[in-house]
Amino acid sequence: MLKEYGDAARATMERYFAAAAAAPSPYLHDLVVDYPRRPGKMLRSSLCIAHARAFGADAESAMLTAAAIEMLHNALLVHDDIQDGSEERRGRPTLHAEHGIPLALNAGDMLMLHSLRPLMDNTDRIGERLALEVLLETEVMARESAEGQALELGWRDLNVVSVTEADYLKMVLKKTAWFSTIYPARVGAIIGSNGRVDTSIFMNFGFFLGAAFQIRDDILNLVGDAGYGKELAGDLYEGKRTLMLIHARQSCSKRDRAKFDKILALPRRDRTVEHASWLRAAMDRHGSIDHARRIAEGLVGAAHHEFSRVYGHLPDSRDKRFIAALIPWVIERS
Amino acid sequence: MASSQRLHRTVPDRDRPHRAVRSDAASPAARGQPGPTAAIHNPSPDAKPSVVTSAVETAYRVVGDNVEEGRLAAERLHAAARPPEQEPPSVKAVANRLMHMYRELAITSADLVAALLRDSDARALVDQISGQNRHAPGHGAGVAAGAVSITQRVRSRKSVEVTLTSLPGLRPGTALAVAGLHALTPASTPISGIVLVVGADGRLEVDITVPDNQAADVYCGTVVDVCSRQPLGSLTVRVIE
Repeated sequence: MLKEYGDAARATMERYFAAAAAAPSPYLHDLVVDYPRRPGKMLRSSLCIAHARAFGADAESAMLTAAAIEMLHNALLVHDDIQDGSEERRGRPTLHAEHGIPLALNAGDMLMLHSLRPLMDNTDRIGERLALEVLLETEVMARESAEGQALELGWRDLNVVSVTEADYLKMVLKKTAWFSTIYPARVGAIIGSNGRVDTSIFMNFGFFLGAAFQIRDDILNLVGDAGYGKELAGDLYEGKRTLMLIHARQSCSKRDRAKFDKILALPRRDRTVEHASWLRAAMDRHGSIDHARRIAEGLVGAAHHEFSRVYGHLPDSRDKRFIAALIPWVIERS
Repeated sequence: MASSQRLHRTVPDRDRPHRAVRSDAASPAARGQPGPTAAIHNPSPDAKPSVVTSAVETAYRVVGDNVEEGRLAAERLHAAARPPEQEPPSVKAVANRLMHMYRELAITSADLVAALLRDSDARALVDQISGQNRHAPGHGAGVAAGAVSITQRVRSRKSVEVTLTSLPGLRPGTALAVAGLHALTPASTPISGIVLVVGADGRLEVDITVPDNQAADVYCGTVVDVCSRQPLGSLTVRVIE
């Protein structure tokens, strides 16, 4: 269903890109459509459509919202890659690595603007009231995501080393879970229930699912295979505060901790292979990857628990089963 | 006053503020339910929480705090968006908005019916359901009786409601007229700016001009076929201040 719903959302996105291509802008259009056309998981759009259907609407009612979510997601990826200094995205060089930061940044901005159009067109598809509710949810999500991104960048840029696991979870809630799982579930259910659902019920489930997803993503950055799509161990070079990094730093000796902090204080360009290898060895020594894996599994257990509370009353359907199947998938994917 | 005579507050059953005000964001333990990891990881109350239990508890706390933070942020934003002098909406204003909405709805419904009746399949279905021959005798072929497509244009600075009773099918070019729309109140000047035109496709165009100084009232008039002098229906205009 990820493919089925993902393909449908992708086709809707393409219709908007085709309309934009009618008056092509040099140095812009090709960059705008680059990330959205690379193969992605389409998790967010699929979650939105599945929730709309599970709560009573047809897939078409959620399609514009799903397309907007994917556009916004890709726009944020462009910006994230610049902020993180990432080199690879979905198996190819990042947009700024290919075209330079100014053009990539501009394309990300444009893609973000594009994402507003389907949300405005929603008034014709689902009516003004629901369209406005979706927009309000989008505003909340965007604020939470920006706060989460600011937390992570601030920790790294100011070299905050005293980050705890609770801090990490708070950052993940804001930066990842709000946009990846909570928001798609909420807007999908708003559309599906014709605005009758209490959206607060999706907080716990969405957070646990999103947090487990992010922890798995962080683990894959260390142990992923060739199909991972981003540069392996890139998080170590970036000094990203992952659960593994936090655990390893807290578990090591005073002398090693001083070395940890010295490496983390370096600018990214000055972190060498040796530095990254030392950090990774410390994680292995203290079982930090296993520690993170256990926490992800625990969060998946909590997500199962919340699933029965949130979706238990819904009749059995393909979409309900799809949402349930996502729970183990987030930590089993490679 | 002796200390024994003083009134004493009852001791509260908690000594910390409630952080997670939304029950849905509270942990299962706070909701009085067994948590997802309770049975596995907490075999006895004295046992030290495992890494997983501790992480899940932290996660519940984090999400609870976030919900509370979001609630406060929404309150702040809502307060910022609403000018302090803004009065809550009056019943009259809401009623006027509702009336406007219903008018739009009525026009949309009329357009929808008209569109449906232009569609031959839909017409056949309606005929089948109603069991009626919707082509009235005495009218030319292709003219739908009992329902006329209407385009309405109202020129007015005031809020106006227009109601046209169902007219029989009209031949293209039929000349229609309304002698004037009169109110029961003698002081209310009749509305005379009414133009009715039946187009080549049988669509009726209604053009109404309401002067700026028209008194709020209900104005009615009879729609007449100019050639046969037969009354065909009635037109009502409600002018609202």
